[in-house]
Amino acid sequence: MENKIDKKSTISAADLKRLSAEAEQEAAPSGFTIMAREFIADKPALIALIIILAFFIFVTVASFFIDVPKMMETNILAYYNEPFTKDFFLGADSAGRSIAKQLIVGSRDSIGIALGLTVISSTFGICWGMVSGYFGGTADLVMQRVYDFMMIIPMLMTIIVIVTIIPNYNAITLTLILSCFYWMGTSRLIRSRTLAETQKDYVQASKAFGTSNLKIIFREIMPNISSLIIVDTTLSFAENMGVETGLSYLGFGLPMGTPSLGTLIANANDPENITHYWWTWLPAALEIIILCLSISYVGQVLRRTLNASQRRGKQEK
Amino acid sequence: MSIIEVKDLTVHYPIRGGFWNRVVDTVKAVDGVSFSIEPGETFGLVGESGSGKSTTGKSIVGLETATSGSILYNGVDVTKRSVRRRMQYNRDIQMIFQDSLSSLNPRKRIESIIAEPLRNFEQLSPEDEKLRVLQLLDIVGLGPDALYKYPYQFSGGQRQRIGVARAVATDPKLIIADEPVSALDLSVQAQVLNFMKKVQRDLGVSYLFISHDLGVVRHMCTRIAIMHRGRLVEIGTRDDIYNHPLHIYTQRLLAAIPETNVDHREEHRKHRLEIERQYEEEQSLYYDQDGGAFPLVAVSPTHSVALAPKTIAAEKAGR
Repeated sequence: MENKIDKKSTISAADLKRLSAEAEQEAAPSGFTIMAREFIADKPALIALIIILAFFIFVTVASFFIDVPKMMETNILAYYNEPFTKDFFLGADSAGRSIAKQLIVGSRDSIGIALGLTVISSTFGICWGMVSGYFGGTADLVMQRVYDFMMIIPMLMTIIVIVTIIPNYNAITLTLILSCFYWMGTSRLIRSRTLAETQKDYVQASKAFGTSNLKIIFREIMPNISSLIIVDTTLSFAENMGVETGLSYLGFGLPMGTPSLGTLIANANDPENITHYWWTWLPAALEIIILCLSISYVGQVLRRTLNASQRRGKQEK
Repeated sequence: MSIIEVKDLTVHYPIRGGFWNRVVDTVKAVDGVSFSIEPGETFGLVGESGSGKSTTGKSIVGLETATSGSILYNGVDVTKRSVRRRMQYNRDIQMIFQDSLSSLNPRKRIESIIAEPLRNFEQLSPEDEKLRVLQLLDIVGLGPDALYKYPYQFSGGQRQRIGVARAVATDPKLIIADEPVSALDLSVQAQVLNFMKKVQRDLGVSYLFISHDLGVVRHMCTRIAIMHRGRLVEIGTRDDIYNHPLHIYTQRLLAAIPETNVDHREEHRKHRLEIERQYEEEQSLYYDQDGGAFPLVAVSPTHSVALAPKTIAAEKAGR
């Protein structure tokens, strides 16, 4: 039967190389090329990307050179040291601990947790939403009741209770605990779009051509809702930066004695710190604002990459 | 031996309502349809919107579940999904969709769109697969430059030809063409139809050609079935249907074809009105009490019509 099509076409194996070269010349640009063009066209986003990458790399590398237990020791002599002095680039807090070093180690933990949390909860939320929306019927009904159940749990309170009753935990277990509670928003959003996509003809066509359900979900439908996924993931990454920070601010985040952006910002609880010792809380607050802003800028560019009508980059081949 | 034999196929949709979301009624989209398709022929299925012709096509390809009745392929009933999967049914039965844009995945390049059935049913090496895709593009008159483009970069006619290429990729025996040219303008319609005919000559596939356009059906089909309200009202060869229509619904459809000859405008109008009057007055001769068509009765070896028993007797006496 293979011969049947072979016979009827003038194209044979010998032409393959020439023809594929011809095809490549006319090829529509790949996603990566378009993304690069979009970044070049949007200067603020390019700067934001550079800031994020440089900051991540700096924080990760620098934290290897910091001895955390030693850093967290109380040093009475450095009580509220002014910034820009020797050994204390950003000053010291009430226990005489270097703010700059705490910031570096704290950022690494906060970003790590936010990244892990985003990856785990978004992946799970996307899978849950797509499977639920695609199959519909009874599967959808059951999965949405599980979703409803998770939604009515008072999230913050439950996390605080779990964190309080677990005797030993660290950044990794905290990430896992948080992930259990942060997938619902994503899953609902993805489900609604999957419901709409599933009705389209190309899904019917794939079914008619014998493609399996899982393949249809992840290879056919997922690329079509990728712009939604990217926007949602970047937004939730920016949001998740605040989750760990917020918990630490309340005192239920990482174990005591671990530096964190949240504990640094919690310094602002003290009116005296706000008025006199601005360096104890301001750098951490600024850092979170700048990072969240940058992430959302980058997210916008990624969204434009995936949505042809919003592109700003040069369109020629 | 016929490729596909449809026997008493029914597809009913439940209407839910009331207090417990009970089934209060059913929509009889397809209500007892039987026909068979021979190898290499084009079988036309004609009817107005909502007459169940698309549902019939979709249940043959497996996108709708039949409520009852059977679809026999090589003597095996393929109304069950597990049976279809086991015998790789969709390798032999493929489909062309009406809307060429929405039936091609907008995020995929033409190469992977056409290769999709190949990847599912034939394990080819990447080179062989690419070669096959190029050959298929060549068959429908598209060059190799189409290979790495996206569907939105093509015109409607080109897209529908890509749809045809995808449908013939695994060399199927039957292609369900669900109003393949209804969304295209007239010149492009002819182009796509001619490519479909060329594919049929080259590869010997059969088509189930679903359409509401009698002009197109006349161009394409050797045998035609007319469908109305979920049932077949008339089935016959092209000559039977166009020159000796017996059922009033067929006559109405034929009378509704616009005539371009303005000299006979009044005549055509009179003819149309006459058929309309006949339809209004002689409902009981053609439809039973519930408005459904009667069972098909053969009036000649190739020609069957759904007429009331007494009309058949009169018809036979008249011949």
